[in-house]
Amino acid sequence: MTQQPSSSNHIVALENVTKDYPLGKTTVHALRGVDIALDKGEFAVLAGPSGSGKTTVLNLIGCVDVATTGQVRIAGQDTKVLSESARTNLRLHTLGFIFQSFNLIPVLDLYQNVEFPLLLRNDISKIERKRRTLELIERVGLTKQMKQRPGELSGGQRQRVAIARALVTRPAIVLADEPTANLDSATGQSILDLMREMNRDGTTFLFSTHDPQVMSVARRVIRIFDGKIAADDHGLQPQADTHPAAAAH
Amino acid sequence: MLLRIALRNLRLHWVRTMIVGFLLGAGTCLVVVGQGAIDAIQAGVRKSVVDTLSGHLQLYSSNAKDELELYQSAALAVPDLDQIDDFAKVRDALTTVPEVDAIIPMGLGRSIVWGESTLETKLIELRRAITDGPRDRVPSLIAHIRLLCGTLVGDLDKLAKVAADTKEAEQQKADVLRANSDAFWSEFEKDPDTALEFLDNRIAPLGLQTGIYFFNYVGTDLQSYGKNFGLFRIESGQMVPDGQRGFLFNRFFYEKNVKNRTARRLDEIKEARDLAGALIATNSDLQRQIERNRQQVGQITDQLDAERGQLVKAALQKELGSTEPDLNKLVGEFLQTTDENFDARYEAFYRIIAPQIRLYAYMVGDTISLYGQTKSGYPRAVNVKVWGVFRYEGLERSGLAGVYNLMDLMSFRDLNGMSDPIRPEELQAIRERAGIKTIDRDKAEDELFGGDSDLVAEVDNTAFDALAGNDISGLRRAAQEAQNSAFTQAELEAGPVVNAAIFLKDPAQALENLEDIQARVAAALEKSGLPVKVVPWTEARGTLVSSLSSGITIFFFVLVGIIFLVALIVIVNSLLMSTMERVQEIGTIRAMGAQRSYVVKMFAIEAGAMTVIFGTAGMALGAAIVLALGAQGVPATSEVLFFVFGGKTLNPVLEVGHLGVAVLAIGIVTLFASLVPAIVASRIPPIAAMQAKE
Repeated sequence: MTQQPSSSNHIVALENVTKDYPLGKTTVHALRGVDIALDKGEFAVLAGPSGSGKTTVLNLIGCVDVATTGQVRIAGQDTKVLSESARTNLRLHTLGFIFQSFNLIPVLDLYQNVEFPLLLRNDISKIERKRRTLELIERVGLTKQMKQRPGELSGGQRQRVAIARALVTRPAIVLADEPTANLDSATGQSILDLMREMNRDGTTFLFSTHDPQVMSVARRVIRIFDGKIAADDHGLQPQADTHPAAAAH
Repeated sequence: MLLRIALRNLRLHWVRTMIVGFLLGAGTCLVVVGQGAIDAIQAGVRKSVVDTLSGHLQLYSSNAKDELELYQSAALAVPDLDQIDDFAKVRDALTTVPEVDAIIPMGLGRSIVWGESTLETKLIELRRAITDGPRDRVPSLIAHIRLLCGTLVGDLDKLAKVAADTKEAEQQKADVLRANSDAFWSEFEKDPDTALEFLDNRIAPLGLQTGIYFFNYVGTDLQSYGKNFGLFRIESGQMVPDGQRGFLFNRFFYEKNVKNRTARRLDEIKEARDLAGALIATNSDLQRQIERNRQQVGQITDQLDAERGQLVKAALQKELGSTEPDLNKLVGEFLQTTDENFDARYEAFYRIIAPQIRLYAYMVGDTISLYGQTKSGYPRAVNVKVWGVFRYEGLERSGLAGVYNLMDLMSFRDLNGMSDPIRPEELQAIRERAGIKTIDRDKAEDELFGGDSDLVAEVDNTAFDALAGNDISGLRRAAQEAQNSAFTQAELEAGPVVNAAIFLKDPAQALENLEDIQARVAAALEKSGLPVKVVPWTEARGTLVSSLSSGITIFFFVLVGIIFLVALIVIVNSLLMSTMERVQEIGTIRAMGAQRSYVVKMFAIEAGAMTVIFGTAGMALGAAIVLALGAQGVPATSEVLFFVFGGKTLNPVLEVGHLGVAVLAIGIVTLFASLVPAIVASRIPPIAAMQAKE
């Protein structure tokens, strides 16, 4: 485990990261030297057209992929030197995922889907598991649908379940890959509001999107183009925060 | 949670689950049923062998050149087993082994029996009628004999045209003409002995021989045999009385070989129709049988004297609604059976014809002349009285169980030239009368081929002729002497035997620790210095029978193997499909932080759940089938099956161990089947979660 105190204040740190994918006989240079640093509690958007490399960045931060060169540090740990098993552990304890297509487990009901990540951990008691699961289901407003299966829920409801699932382990970072792409704009807005609210607890959020609606709620928009950071706008004022509490923030 | 995922997945893909489940269930079911059947078959074979021929253990001389193979002995040449010199010593030696219940002395042998022609039979009957009565049968017997001589003249005329030795042919014809002449028969009453001698020597051999029979027999202590061999039953006649000599026909052999051929063929047609559902119209074997019956009407009509012929003719005419005056043609027409009339004709045969003919070449009360030879090639003959016909309960239709007839041990010893120290003077007398000089078995070679010429046996023509079947009266008379001589139990047991069967007090022990007891028996024999070895029934039965039961076992294992192999392939395939369909789901689970081992566990549980559900169902079904079959029994439909089943039906048994084996088998299959898909699944990268399905 490599600890570098100089950058330990960043929960996520990418330094001069490149990522190449072999594609037949040629190589696709998905990332060509990317530097990103996220602080704890940030609510950031990774924006760019498809193919620009934003999903690759998310995969690297999410520890489901490793960089070709450069360094990816999550919670102070260099992901490249970790074993597969240790990366899995990092995901389990530090990261939460929200997927574009929700990725709920179809055979489990809502409650079980939310509970699932906690079952992978053996440091959480049964009572605590139940408490956290119920709490999050309540927070995403689906208490009544608790016994329903994903197939019986609307797209918005499913994504709420996915949010609850991502947060139930209380991760430091939640990664969301185009979380609103499969939703209509009103539903998408309510999902974004929900995530904003969660963000207030100090959880770092990073989205990838090319949806202006999503960008408008972010306080930081990192624009990526052709595998490079094109712009990194800090300190934006979220315009479309419909949540009354958010306006006061 | 994992179990829930597994169950939900199984339900979601229910078609696939059902296919895999069916295979697993069927495989498990087959394992349970198959074991039940195999156990029952092994028990059946054990019963068929132990309770008819072998007992639990078999003893025979350790000087034997061949191995004891009870059933091969009948099929091939009689093996050289040497002999156990004194059975009583063996019996005494084994009193020290408390598990031993009974020891039955035995000897396997085979004799030639010259099938008697109708002419011979009638001559024997005539001789008996004259010496023992009833005298009133004599005229009708004479008439019948003259009738047969009449047909014989015609046969001889035909023969004379192709005969090489015309002189002899002419002589034969002259003899027959004389036997058929009024002059001969008017002299008959004055000196029946001389006339009968002429008929026996000159005419009887000319009759149509019914062939040579090979009689396989077990010479044994019949009383002890009957008491200890559990399947033995007297079917007709009676058990040979204690201390008497005698012969008991095995019913299967009796029906197949001794019965009138026409009647036997009718029986066989009936059996094929009833048991196997064969049809005369479509079965060429049955058609051939019927054709033979039609051509060989002589099998019946030769036996009918004028009076009986008339009776049969009238009844057949009525039965067939025919006016045919020729008896042969009438019988031929009667035997022309079809699927439509068979049952009626069969019934009519036994109602009309059977009572008028000799249905079996040898009947209870008759005396059989058995011809054999000693190991040194010395001709032997004994006459034994047929006391009865026995059967083995449930094995009446089994050819293997039908191999051996039974004979008293004394006759066996006589026939096989096993030295009998009890009554040497009596044997000497018999030999002298037959004109045969004693040759010591051990020195036979010297005496026959070397040494002083004085010692060369003088064997008169009677003995050789007897073997050639030309004149059997000399040896026949000699053999008759011994026939009625009684013996004591001590005489029976104190002599030599070829082998012996041991029964244990507790049959359960024969299953569990036969080897132990075998070792103790061997030790007791060795301690007594007896050159006798002991083998378990499984060995004594020989490879013929053991390959029969092992063949069935192998067949079963191959079948189970194939089913499970197919199941294995289908399960692997199914789980791989399941893996491929769930790449994103598995990727998601991995992305959420599940280790590879967790995914492996997930698949193992899915396969395991399937195993538990369908394995249990399969076991329950298998158990139900076994119980149902056990209660009802699977009927034996072929000769071999009767033996293998140890009776008319196979009754499979259910044992806890069978279920255990089934669990083990299905567990192993599942383990192997889920291994590859689980590994494949565990290699799905978490990044797969990010790749959208559509």
